[in-house]
Amino acid sequence: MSESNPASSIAPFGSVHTLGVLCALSAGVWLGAAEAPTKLVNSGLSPFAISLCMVAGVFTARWTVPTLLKGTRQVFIDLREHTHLIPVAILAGMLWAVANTLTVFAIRDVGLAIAFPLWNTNSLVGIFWGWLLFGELRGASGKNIAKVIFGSFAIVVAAVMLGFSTIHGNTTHASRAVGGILAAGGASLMWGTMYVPYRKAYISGMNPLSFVTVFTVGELGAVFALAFALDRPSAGVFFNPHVRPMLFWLFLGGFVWVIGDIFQQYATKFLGIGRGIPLSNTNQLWGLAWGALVFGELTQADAHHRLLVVAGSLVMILGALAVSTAVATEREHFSTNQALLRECSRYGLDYDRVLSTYSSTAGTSREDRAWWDYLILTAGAAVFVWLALQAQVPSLAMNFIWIALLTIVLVISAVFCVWKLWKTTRFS
Amino acid sequence: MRSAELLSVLLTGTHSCFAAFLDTTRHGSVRLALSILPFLRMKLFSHTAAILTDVHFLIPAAVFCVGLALLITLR
Repeated sequence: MSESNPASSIAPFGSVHTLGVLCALSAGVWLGAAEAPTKLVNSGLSPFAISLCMVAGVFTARWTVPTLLKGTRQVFIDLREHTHLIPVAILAGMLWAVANTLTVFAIRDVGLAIAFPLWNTNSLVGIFWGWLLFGELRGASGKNIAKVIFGSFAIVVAAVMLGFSTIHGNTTHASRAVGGILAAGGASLMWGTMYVPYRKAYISGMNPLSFVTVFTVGELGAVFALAFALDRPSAGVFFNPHVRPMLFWLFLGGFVWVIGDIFQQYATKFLGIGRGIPLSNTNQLWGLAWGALVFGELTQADAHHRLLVVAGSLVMILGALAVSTAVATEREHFSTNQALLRECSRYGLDYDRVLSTYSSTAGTSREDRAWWDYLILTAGAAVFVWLALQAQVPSLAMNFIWIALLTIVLVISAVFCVWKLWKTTRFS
Repeated sequence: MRSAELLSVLLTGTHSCFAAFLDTTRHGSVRLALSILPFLRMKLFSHTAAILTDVHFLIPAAVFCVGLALLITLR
């Protein structure tokens, strides 16, 4: 560990708050859009099969745009320096996979109306772990604590309101209600806990692109294992010729998800769990926008449902505003610094190096990409092109003007965020 | 810290046996498979004790076990 005085190094922490907010909001835009392509898949496929195909898309997509942003050489150097984080990142991917499968059971047993509010509390679980394990919000002013807590709570409430606006009918099965509630609560706990590895990685100086690389391995492995164990026919879904025309849409959903997840990783790095996760949970608003504007999901909605949409959107915007304006003070940065020191002491990391990477002042101007990076990039893109050539567009009513407009929003948010990340951090 | 130290000793012993196996085995495919991840052999073992006693790993691992048990029960 370095001999420099840790107390003198707190200053760089606060400089990336705005960038973190930008990343979290972009994550919301992209994660909200990730479900749109999957709406084109209406084949009677089991949820396990859909999940497996989408996660395969996530894994493939990891090797496209992210490889373009930062070469694999940098990723492997990073992994070599932070070997102790490899099992942690794999565990995070496994947590995501089990939580996602639990939501399938929750919807089956209690319906979306009860399950959805329960698993949306994951950001509150995340805030608790952030406070307990990483000292987030410790030393924060009362005003900031109130902004984060009430802002996050408002986002959860708004997500529930928006969710209710698209729910029709009651699918609760009384005999399985307890199981369904447990499944939804379990999903919330697991998704909320998944952010512990995220945060641990970044206070150890790991690069988000490196973390996502290992995360997707854990995610794919766990989803495949679950499909094999719980729904064996779905494990062989890729060999089913009837499924192939639909694979592109699921892979596209995975591609959109992975871009959103990378922004979410940067948000967690710059803002911490307590602020980053509630802000990226604004994805519900964008998911609803795609559903309502492109697929006309609210065309049959009555005045009550439309009121829920308007009220939910306003509450979510106010919640996001509250969280995003809660800029951490120097006392809170001191707590973060203590968390950094703990990691450095425990795993023998160089404090100065970790601090410079964490505060994103260690960006390198020279990007030495290897020849195989271009090979990987080409192979990843070729998979998408190959699937696209076989894709079939289902006869589903869609509003192409809104598709174009929402796609423009997606592209603008990504280009602006990537440009700011490059300019400020060089993706460090 | 006693449990961590004990674990560390056990893991160091395991690592030594593992390294000895690597040095003596003549099975080409095994050597190749393991040699592509030399950093795992060298560093992961030395950190295992710290990881397995780290609350940042133990809490997510415990939550994973609970979630998996729930999933198997509800199936």
